[in-house]
Amino acid sequence: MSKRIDRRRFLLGAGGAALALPMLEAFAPRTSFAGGVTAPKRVIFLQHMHGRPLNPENNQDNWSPGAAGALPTTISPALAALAPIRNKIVTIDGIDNLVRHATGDSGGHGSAGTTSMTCAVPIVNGTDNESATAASIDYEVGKRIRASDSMPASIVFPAQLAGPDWRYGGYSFFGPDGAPPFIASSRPEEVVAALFGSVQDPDVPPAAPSLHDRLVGRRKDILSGVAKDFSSLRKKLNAADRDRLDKHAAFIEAMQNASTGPTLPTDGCNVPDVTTFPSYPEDNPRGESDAITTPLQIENVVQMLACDIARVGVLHFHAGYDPLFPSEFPSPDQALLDSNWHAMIHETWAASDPNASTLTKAFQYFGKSFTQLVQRLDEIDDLDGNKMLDNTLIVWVSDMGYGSGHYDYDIPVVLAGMPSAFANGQGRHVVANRRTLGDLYAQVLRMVGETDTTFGATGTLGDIALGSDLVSWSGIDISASSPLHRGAIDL
Amino acid sequence: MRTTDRRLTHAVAHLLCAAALTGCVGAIGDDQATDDPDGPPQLLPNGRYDCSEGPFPVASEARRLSVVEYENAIRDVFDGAAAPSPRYPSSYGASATGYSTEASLYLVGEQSVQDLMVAAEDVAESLAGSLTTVLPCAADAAADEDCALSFIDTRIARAYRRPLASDEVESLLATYQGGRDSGASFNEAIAMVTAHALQSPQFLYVTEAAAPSARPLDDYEIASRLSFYLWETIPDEALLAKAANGELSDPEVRRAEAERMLADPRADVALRRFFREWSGSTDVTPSNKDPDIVPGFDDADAQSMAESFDRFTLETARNGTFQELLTSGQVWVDANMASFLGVDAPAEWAPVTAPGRSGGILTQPLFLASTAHRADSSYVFRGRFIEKRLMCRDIGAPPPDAQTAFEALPLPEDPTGKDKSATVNSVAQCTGCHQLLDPVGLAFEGFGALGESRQSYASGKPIDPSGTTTVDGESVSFESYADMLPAIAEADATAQCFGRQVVRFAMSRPDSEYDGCAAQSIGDLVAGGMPLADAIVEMAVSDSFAYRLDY
Repeated sequence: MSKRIDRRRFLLGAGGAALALPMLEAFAPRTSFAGGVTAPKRVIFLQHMHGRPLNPENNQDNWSPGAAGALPTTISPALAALAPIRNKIVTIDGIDNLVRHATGDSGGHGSAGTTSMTCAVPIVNGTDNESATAASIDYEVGKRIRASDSMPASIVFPAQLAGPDWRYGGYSFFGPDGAPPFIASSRPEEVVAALFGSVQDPDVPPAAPSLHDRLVGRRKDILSGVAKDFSSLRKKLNAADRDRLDKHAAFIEAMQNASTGPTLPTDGCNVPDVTTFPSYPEDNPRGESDAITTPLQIENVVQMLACDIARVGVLHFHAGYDPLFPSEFPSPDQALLDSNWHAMIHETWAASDPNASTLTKAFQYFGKSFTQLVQRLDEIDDLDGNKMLDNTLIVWVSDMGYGSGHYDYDIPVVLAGMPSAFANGQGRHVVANRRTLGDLYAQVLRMVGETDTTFGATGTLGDIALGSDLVSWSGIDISASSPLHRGAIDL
Repeated sequence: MRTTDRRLTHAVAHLLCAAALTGCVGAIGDDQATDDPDGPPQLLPNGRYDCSEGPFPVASEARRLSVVEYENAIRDVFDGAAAPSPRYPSSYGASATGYSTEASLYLVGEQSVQDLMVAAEDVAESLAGSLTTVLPCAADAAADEDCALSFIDTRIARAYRRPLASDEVESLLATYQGGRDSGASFNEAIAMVTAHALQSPQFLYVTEAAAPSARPLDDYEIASRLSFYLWETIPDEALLAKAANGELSDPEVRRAEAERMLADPRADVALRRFFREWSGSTDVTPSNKDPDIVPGFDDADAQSMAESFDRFTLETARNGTFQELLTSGQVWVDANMASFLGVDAPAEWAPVTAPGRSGGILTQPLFLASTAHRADSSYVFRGRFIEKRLMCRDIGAPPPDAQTAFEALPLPEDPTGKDKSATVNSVAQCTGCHQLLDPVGLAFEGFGALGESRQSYASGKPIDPSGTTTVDGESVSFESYADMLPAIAEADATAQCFGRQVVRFAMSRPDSEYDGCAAQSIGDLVAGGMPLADAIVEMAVSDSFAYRLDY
């Protein structure tokens, strides 16, 4: 069930109220066209943590479809859930995260998070305590293709519910200079309220202005005063403190001056009806709610695109807890029970290991989510008469190649959508000749019409190495002269 | 004039991770020796800092208020008449020191700048209904700019933690007047002033004027350091009065103020956070633990376990010593914790001497449950706390191929902790660190995944918590933690490490050699068996709370 947005509501955010939230009310004017119009390019990133379920060494890997060429019917054991969309995807082997390798393993999962989407050298503080120094690819591509600078560059959707005693902590996605990203709530109904607002009857006359309305109406003037306060205070500070406040002030200035270009909602823009959402456990320490909330969150991502609230988003399967994957193990006697997800990853190397089949079954949760996203976008008519999937690139990556060994090579990558950007067609497996995540993301930028040839750190591994040993990977030579970009992937 | 050799400084600071532990030390700085009157204190050949010629100024970073600081500040600025907003943006990222007020955790981005705006409006709206309680002149129908100025001079000055400069007053008055000119009522215009002030950096950030060369802090800067250190909120009226009178540059006045503040219940929040974050003790979620460990362990038990920990640390911080913090046999119990420990239940919360627990904070169930896996203990987590956080040894990260090497080694069936440790230590790349971590962690193998006492592993195999470690350069053999911890608690290295931890917490950043004298003075107090409260107060008395230098 969902509620259609009355077209008149798209005009509510005009003028000074452009600074207001929810976003559907805030960013205007919105325009809809019946057809014959160029639809906007869009990109969705998915990230799950810990890479492939099994060791890519010694032929144990069960993620890769194998040799380059047409995908087999079942694709691979780990990717079996993608079989229904086999002809709309491209799987890629041979993509490495060389930037993380420059930090050694000193950052643990932290450096995997902070480099896997930024390709920039982090500030190394110790195991799992890294700080990013640059924007992630979702922000960068979103900044390029958004309708106007009042539109969020990218919105991160936690794919799994955060519980009351822990919160979303992905730490893979960042704004400029490592600033926090735009993060939606992990609760689907809160996302609906934040992105779309409450649906109002357009025939009911507006109430008299409240204090809230007056505050909203004075936002630009208040922000102008705040900006002066920043100018006043910064003079007294040292360079580092000034820089921190200047970055904050720059966001205020951007918010004040944001232009409100036309947005392009599709006819498929339908606000999800939260009254039809099933109830779910408030706490989610082992993923008890995921089977309910993840599909709802995926629909929120789809509607974000369909309503043109943002043109880039992230569906993030983060590592903040140890899920039981109830969607894959619905009955208690089937549950994934052995220690925890992270430990199981570390303890499982080979197909013969006791937990190998369990891990592979659990991995279907990610694949099914990916498939749901692709299929939904393929159902909705776009402005140009095609389907939204035809204008939307979906990029599924992980923070590591193989989590158990903290390997930075052979990051599992699946692309879908935007078939016109694939010269060799889809339904194929590509074995890249040792390309990097920087190569991949530069290519993503080119696929949406940009001309970038690099993304993130440039030069060689030696240029950014932080003093750790540059040990070679299995069959892959690594040295200080290894380039951080090797060119395009033949798609 | 002070001189120092920074290379020596680093080397001695990490003395305990000595050459015998090859492969486990982190990177050591290669800075050049300095000859600078604004340089750090000189490190003497005996490993101590020469603190005879002060002052020793330290650096400070502008940082945005944490969520707790923000909530407390809103409460205190408006005397509870306004509710803090849940939209105030929290931290993002990971802490370098383990303490959650570091500046890098509170950067502002595209979303958080909007959230700050909405949060400020929320508070302004919340205040509107009870404005006259904090601004009596607002009850006058003819309330005007003078009344608005009164609001700025009182409430906004509290928010800014000092009297406002004339341009800051003008900025806020312009917002007031702009609101009135747009047709807003007086109360609505005050709401706009509130929304403005709560988005200003003067409120949101703890800042100090630059110090390209060493300078004394002004009294209002000192007041903020004190209040955020001990109360996690803005200075109260008494502290601001001392600042207005120029008294806080006197270390004895700071001592008296810090003692007053530490005794106040408002210090609970800071003390609780320090001991939680230092020890890495977090609330236990029962569903994250194997239900067979302690059948029936539920949310109420988990809450009691957390409160038990906090009661122990708060009580010890105010009335105990550092040695008691590490060797006390007390655990605070209510009915839930009494059942958990197998002791008689008191009528209300009370400390008991718990059988088989004489490790102070290290045998508190919450700490032990936090340093454990779902179904079993983790001698690595426990050892990591002792080595890195309790003794400040510089444990490096595993080499990139450590896991591969480990996986190649077969473990015996149902391996004990010592079996696992022996396997890891048979790998050359691992032993540098694990020979440090493992023995001290294995000393606590008598406690399981929920911190419960146990006599054997689930497999029935016996537990062997004996081992050998090095403390203050001396080899210490022990049968279990119970005879290991007294040696660690008495070690000067441990005391000095505690001094560094207090500095990191108080300054919201990693420590450096510039902090050496403050850390050393705290370390000396705890090493001498002085009350822990005196050590906490010492930070406020030190030069770190009176001088600044941007090095």
